[in-house]
Amino acid sequence: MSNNFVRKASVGAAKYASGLFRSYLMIILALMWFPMIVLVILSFSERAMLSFPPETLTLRWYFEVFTDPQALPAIFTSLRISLIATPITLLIALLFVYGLDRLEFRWKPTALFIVILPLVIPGVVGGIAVYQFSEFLGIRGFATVVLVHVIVTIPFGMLVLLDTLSKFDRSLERAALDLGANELTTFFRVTLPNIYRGVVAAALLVFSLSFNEFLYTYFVRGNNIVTLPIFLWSNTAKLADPIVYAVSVVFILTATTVLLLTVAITSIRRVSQF
Amino acid sequence: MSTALDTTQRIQRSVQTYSDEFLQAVRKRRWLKMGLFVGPSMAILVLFLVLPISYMFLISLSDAFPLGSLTLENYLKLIQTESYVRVIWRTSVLTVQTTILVVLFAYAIAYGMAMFAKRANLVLFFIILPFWVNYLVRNFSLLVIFLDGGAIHQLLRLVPVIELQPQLLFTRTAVLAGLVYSFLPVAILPMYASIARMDKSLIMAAKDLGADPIRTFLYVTLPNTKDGILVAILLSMIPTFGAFVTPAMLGGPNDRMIGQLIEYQFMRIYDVPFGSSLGVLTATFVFLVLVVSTRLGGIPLIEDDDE
Repeated sequence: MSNNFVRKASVGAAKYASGLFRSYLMIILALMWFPMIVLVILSFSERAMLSFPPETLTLRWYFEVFTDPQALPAIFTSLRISLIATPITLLIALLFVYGLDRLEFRWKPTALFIVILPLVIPGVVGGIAVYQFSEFLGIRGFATVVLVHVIVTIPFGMLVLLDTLSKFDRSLERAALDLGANELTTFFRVTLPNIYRGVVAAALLVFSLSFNEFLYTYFVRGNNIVTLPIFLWSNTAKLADPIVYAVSVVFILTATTVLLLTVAITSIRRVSQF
Repeated sequence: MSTALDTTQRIQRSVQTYSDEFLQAVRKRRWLKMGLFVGPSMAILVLFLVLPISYMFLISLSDAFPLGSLTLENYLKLIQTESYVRVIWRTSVLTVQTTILVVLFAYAIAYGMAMFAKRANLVLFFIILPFWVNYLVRNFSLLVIFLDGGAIHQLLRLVPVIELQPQLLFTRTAVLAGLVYSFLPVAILPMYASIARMDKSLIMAAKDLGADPIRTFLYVTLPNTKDGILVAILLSMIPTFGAFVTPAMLGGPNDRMIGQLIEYQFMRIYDVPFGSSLGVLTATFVFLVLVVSTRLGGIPLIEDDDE
């Protein structure tokens, strides 16, 4: 009988706990999203932060983004850098992951540590290190910025691809090789079609990270390269200029789109493990 | 017509021969294989990250940039100037505070998601999304709601009794809130993974054997999700110690952190050697945290491939 009572009590407690945890989750999500929702609302406001909630709604600031002499070029600069950096990162990361997966060498942990390094070194430290080195070598400008974007995104590309490749059934490759296909044919006709979802997911993540990259770019860029994050940074002081809010929403929308695409071709479970 | 076809065929054939020769060459030579696969990433990262960090270390020990004579002057300046010591102390305190808050909040979130959430995937989506939203935007959104007369003050005004309109922006609390807000999403994921992966029958077993929920949590759930917690600690400690954007946007002059000090040396007063010593200090901190957590068995990134 007492056993029964304990069971009842624990069932009751479990019910209570689940309600408690669920409301906690809702509160956290609300707190997490509240500031960004405020930003979105303000981006439609006629007079920026001076009045919340806004009295009149307008799309003016979004048009302003496309006519601003700095904002639009910044978007194009960002796109150009990210679209060049993404395929380079993917290629380098894919080669590395292949080597890690198929070759035996004793310094594997060291190699892995070096590849993870951009992820663990704080952006300020990495940024100044690359900055003084490029200053020392006398290289600066667009190529350096692209290089820095490649460096920063390699760990993430690598992690996604490693996860993808480790789930791929290698006996398919062995079968293709046994049947007389060479390594290149095997890769393009067997391996790639099987892992392409992971590769696309990696591409999306790498693009997104590069598009949002700020710290390394900030130190290395010199004065003439203005990416969208740099534009946002140099304008955050102008709170009364609502174009900043519109640009912020551009970032929120890009992130949402990229994540939705990634989830669509893989799954949210996979994405959360990256 | 036919010549064009001939040419394409010839090109195809020669490409075929070349790629065959190439593959044969690679098959035979191990170093070529290594160079092909591991080479590019190693080259780019060693040349443009490992070398620069070593160079930063060298510069921190010299009296001029790009090269001077060896000296310990920069480090002496660092420990002898009271205001710098205060910044380092403040950064350390904020790092500990942020890590504790992030881990507490994030563990409860991860636990709730893994055990109780009805639409776990949807919740997961909205937890992950902020991580993908630009870091500057997230901090800027806090700046906007913390403003005098901003959204939080507006909300406080709605509460009838409270007349409070505290200064929020440019305070230590704002910096702490910003750091927690910034690094919470990343800390949730490893803990969520380890709680979701955990064998739930262990909890049942503990309950059946008479353990109350608190004992079950302390002796079963917590030890089994240790690795997730360690990774979460890592993922909040390291970026907090090197934070620059958050304190710069949300903090006042008395809330400066090491990251800002470094940026100031490099971008404003061009004291590269001294800035480098600050960079080395931060890198050393990161390295120590990594070593300690590896000892405790926390970095699955490096150990995973043995499984």
